[in-house]
Amino acid sequence: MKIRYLSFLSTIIAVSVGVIVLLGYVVPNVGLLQNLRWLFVGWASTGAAVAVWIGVLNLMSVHWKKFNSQSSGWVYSIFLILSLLVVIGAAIVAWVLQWGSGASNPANVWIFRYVQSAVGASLSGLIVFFLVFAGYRLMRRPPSLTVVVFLIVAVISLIGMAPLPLGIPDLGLQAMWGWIAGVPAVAGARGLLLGVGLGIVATGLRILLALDRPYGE
Amino acid sequence: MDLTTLTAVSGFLFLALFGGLLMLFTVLAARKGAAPAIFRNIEAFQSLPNTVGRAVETGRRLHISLGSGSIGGQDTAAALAGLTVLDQISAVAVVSDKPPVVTTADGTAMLLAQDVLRQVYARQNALPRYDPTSARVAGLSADSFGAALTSLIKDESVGGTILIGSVGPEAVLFTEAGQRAGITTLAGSDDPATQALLFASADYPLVGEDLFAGGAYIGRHPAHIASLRTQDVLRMAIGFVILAGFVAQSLGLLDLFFK
Repeated sequence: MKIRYLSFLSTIIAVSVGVIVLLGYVVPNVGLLQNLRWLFVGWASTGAAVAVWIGVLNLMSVHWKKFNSQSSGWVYSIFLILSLLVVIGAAIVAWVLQWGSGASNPANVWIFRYVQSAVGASLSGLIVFFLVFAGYRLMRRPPSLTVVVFLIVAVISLIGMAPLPLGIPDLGLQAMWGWIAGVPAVAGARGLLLGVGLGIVATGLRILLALDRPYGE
Repeated sequence: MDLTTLTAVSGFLFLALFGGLLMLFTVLAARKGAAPAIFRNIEAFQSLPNTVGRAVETGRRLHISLGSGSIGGQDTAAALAGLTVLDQISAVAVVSDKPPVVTTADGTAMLLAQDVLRQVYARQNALPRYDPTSARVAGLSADSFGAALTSLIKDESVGGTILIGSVGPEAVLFTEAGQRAGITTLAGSDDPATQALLFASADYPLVGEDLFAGGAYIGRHPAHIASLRTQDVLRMAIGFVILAGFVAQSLGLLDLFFK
């Protein structure tokens, strides 16, 4: 039988580290476990920071390749590469001119406040319109019980939340929306969260028990 | 016993119970002659072979997204659920003219996706065709990720798209782009508010813990089937405890017990 030593070793390391970190959570009074837990969490944070850089390089290489081959959408790739260089350049200029250093230097803060936040807010605004279209498409689908309930609740919630002009009766829809938001919606959300929570625990335990090995075969 | 110790002990006991049941059901599911697992219908997973097949037959790419969550944070499990589905469905897609494209907003998730794709190519004896940029970071923030996916469908000639991971309202940008392009969109998130948005905007939404059921439905792996069974047993147990607590509280029994 062929034993893959690297796979075996990576499984042993992953399971041991996972068990130690987990025990650090559930046995808070053992000093050695706490020290090891924070050491491993620190290593993971450093690894994650390096992975951000690898992600940036990947993003650059994908868009450089797209620009080089003049494939569909290559113009946007130029903007992406230039934007990345401008942000890095602004941070360097701010440091050279002694405006400040790190991610919170005034040049980068200005870019984030007046460019990225503005673009992000406009994208979020678009979501509202897309949802209206999605609701319209939902009405055109073959009706099912869940779709009908979803649409009725959506309409009641919209009317219930909207400020009505003075003198127009709300026909009890605001009270109904309050009840929907406070009782069935909360109960449903808790049920969903319970299911998601159990799914998360199951995924974690499968890795701890080496039944799943996302870190390689 | 103080509250911290009580929480730690109960947490440990819950995990031990969960792990024990998981191992037991895995052994039962893996033994010879075990009855095949019967699941309730999840339309999204039943439609997957068609979605993948259509993308391959039309000579277009399959797009799989792991969402904008990160590995190492609280979104890890959702991203891992996406990786499981990627591992199980990309075997068919890698043999097509246009290989699948995987997107994420996190460097660590990208590295794991690259590794999964490389393994799939190796299993298919097609390693020379493996392109590391097939798994890529589409954007480093949630907004940029959502925006990038809207153009990716057209630019990369995507024929079917699957989103399984942690994602916020920006997922609507992506599902809407899929609808405009006329391709099938399957999407699931671990966030209940986003699940409601995806219910309205995706062709095949995944609701609740369906997100974590891909491994059992597609690959029929004993550990994944055992995982679903354990979740079901514990969900019923927790439901029973909540109901019992409600009845005990209503009758004033809890006050008597704790006094």
